[in-house]
Amino acid sequence: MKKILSVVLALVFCFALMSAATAEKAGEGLTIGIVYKQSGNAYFQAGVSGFEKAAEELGFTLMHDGPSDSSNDGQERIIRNYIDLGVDILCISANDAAGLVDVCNEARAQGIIVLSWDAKVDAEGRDLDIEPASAKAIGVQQLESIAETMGYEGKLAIVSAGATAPNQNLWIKYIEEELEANEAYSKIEYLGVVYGDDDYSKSYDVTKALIDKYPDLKGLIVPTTNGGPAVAKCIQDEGKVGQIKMTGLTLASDMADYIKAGIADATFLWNPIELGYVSAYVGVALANEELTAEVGATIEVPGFEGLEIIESDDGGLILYLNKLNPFTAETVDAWVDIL
Amino acid sequence: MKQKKICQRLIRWETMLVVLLIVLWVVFDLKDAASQSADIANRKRTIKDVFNLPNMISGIGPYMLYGFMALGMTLILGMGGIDISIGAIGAMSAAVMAVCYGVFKSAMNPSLALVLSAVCCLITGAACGLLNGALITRFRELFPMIITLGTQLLYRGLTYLLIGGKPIQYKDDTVWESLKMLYNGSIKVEYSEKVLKMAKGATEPTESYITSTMSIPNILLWFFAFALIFFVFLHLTKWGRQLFAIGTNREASRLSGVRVANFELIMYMICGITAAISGMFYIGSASGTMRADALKGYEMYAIAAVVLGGFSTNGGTGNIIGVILSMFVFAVMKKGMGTVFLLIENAMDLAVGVVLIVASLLPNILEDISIKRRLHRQHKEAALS
Amino acid sequence: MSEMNNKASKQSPKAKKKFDFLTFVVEHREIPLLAVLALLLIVVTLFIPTYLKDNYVTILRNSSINLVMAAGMLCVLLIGSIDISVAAVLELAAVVAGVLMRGGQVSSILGMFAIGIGIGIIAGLINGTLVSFGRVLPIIVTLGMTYLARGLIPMNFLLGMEKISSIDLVDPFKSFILQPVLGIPLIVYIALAVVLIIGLFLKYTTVGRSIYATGSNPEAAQMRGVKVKWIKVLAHVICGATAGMAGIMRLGFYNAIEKNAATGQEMYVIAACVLGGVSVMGGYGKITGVVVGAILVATIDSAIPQLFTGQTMMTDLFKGLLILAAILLNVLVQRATNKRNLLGRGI
Repeated sequence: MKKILSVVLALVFCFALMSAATAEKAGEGLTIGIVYKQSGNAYFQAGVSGFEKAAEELGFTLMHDGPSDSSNDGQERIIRNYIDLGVDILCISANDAAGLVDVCNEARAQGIIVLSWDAKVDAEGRDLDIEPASAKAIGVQQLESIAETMGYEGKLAIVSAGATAPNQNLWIKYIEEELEANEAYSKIEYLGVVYGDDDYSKSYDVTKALIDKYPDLKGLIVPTTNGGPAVAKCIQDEGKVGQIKMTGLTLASDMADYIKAGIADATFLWNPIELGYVSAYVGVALANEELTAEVGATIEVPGFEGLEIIESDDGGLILYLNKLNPFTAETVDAWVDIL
Repeated sequence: MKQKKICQRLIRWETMLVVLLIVLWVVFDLKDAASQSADIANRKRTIKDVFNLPNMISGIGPYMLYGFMALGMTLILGMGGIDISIGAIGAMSAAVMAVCYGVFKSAMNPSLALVLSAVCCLITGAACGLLNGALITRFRELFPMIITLGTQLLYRGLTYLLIGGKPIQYKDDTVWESLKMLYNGSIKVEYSEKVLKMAKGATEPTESYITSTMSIPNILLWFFAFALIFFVFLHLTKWGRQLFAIGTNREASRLSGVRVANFELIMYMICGITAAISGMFYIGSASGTMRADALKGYEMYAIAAVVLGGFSTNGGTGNIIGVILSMFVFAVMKKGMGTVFLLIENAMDLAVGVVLIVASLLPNILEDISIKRRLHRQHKEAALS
Repeated sequence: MSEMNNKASKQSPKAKKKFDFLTFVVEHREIPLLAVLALLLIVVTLFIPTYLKDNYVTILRNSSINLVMAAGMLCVLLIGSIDISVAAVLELAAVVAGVLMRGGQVSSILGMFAIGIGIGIIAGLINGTLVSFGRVLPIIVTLGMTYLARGLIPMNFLLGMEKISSIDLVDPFKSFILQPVLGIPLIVYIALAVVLIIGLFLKYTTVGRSIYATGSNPEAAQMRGVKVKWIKVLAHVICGATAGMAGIMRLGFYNAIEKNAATGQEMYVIAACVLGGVSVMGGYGKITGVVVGAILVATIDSAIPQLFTGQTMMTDLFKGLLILAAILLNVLVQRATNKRNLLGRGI
């Protein structure tokens, strides 16, 4: 993770040199306020570094913060602070999609552009939602990966974050639907979800309980970056390497040791740096009225193709990056310094 | 003589809180002005006041959520008890309310359903408080803290059992969304605000005035109303005196004919009800949604506010005015640190910790000094005579 | 403590004649607790027949971290104080040590423990000084310390937005804590050693007995020349040191530490002590009780999720109910025996 900074700095330097020629940057004079789910989370650190990268290219200033207790009113406090500080764009990863609608609408009434990234704000409270991939794609990809590892048979369980985590619940919903609907998974015995509350020791303990109760468990899906390493460590400590395989959404640096030890064949994550980077570009384009938030609008972001705003399931607008990176024993080392 | 009076008034806790509030305000205001001139140098497009009264009042809502709990907690701390399950009680009551509304509204007029479910919410709060009180008064060998540590797990567990992981919300239900009016502002005040604008290419900013609106959050008004009730109860009625008497010396109160156990039971019940009220306001603050992990850790915020307000956890002393002031001290401190100094939320936790310790240490130090001075004076007088 | 011994010796002739089970139970408060533990194990075994066979090592292993902290907590409770900052101090110690190891400043296991314990001692010293010389209430002091420690952790000079994960730690440290010695992980021996040291210290040293004296009657202790204020500081320092040590043990166990780790663990530590029959008013409590209490908590912790797999909503509820019930049951048993004792003496 440390090397992110040096990578970013190097990039920053290059871009600074390149853009020195262009006099006026698109984001000059704009301020972006970034609000994430909780402070001290490495995943969001990576997201913010994406924003910082974009800031060097576009010239906007940015502020970022998250509540220490992952609470809804903590996020409200931060959003209100940013409104007072006169930000032009708010990028929010919401703890409670519906809970922030009122304060977001207050912000929009003052001409602030409200984007949600990573975790949505409900349709009536946002201008646009930016997600790495559709929830269904994320869910099904993990299921397909673990099913392949398991040989399409055996016992499968999910170790999730908190019981109230909206993203995870959505992914799990799609995983469960796919298990029901798809004939290929008919031999997989699905045991259900346990919750580790994104807490290392709790995730470890619930995994331990699962393994003890079902000694013939074959597969675990861990759709949360904080839970992944705990589950892997537990499989390792219980001596079940080889028998139980896991997959999930994890940071590469957390999982490098465990992927190489054969506990997971592949884990996934989109690149949160890219997510932040694109969010910043979209935000600036919306603020400069170069882009209007409507179905079918497209935006050019360096390094990305085919970014198009579409209508989402909840009736709002959404933009997908459609980039999910697999981490396998071969590729994980290349990612360790980035994620 | 006169000098001594000033000294005593200075030592009065509420005065110190007012001084603290003013100092914080001045520091934030000066820093705000300084960062504005820095912004001008950086050629930002628009520059306006960040830390001022209208902004503070419009945004005070989230800082008031635990105010009701804090008021309820004054009763408990005044008696020398403690209740750290109130966050869980608030969440459970609000969950009951949300579930009840869903059940009732299919059977009757939605407005009536809302009122009935609010009653259920308060009853749940009262019942939880009663259970706490019953256990605490029956098991005196155990600290109230130990017991409420246990009941906290229980209530939080029940909340999860009741509504599970999914947030409850009733979309497009205007009656349910009227809960938002508990929290959001309905009184708007217009005022004119100075704005500096930096035109593109210009070197000096142009000054202009715009009309801004300040909305006074209803939760603030509700808090004042409740605080008034609690002030009257604690400081102007015989029950208030009994409460502090129990805090000072439970045994003496019992011997003087107060039915201490019953009294305590009722106070824990009221504290539960205030937690339930906080829960209701939480639903309003979260745009009408309720989650099982709501109000987590609020008991500690409430206790911190009450202790900074001058209540000792030993019981027997305290003043509601101090608690009101301390709510504002925390609000101003957090708001100012967040907007003017751009400190992250965690830095505020740090500050809360320091304030809490200093606030409870300071009275003791002052007392030591005054005792020493008195002894010194007595020595002097003895030597003179 | 000596008063208690006198009392016991005065009663002993009578007790010899007729073995009074209840009196025996009261003098050994671990017994009813052991009964609760046995009952719980029987119930669990009914549902999961292989439970104990598969899990005894786990129970021991998982109780170790709590046990170390509970031993420290015992000292604090004995003087009639309380420390709810142990979980925060645990995290702070683990984070500081982890950051130093990541930065390469420390690479030895001993060094890690020294740092952890050092940080714990500093925290305990602050707590203790404020409690004893500042006369601030322990709950407030330690609540403030919780905010302080948890507020420091995400600062940029410590963890910032990152976390300590297994690639940041050196290999000898990663495998140290859980390496098996005679089939049982080393962490259990470490915990037992701490318990043994604190137990012997409390029972056989003058200072240790002063802790009991300070808790049961501070004025009397003062009269007898015990430096009550310093004893209070010492108790808090011991508690802080065990919390710091537990932090390193946790880091070694999980090979990772992140923000908000171990939230709420102070509760299980206090529960272990109270279950073990330690009086929260101070002056009474035995290390053996604490050991049984910690094992009971760990058993509840490990058994309940297994009983209710897939229904996570039930686990917290049942954990809370069980701990509360066990605490209250303990009090009731004690009351019944006290009453009987009084009746027996004709009062």
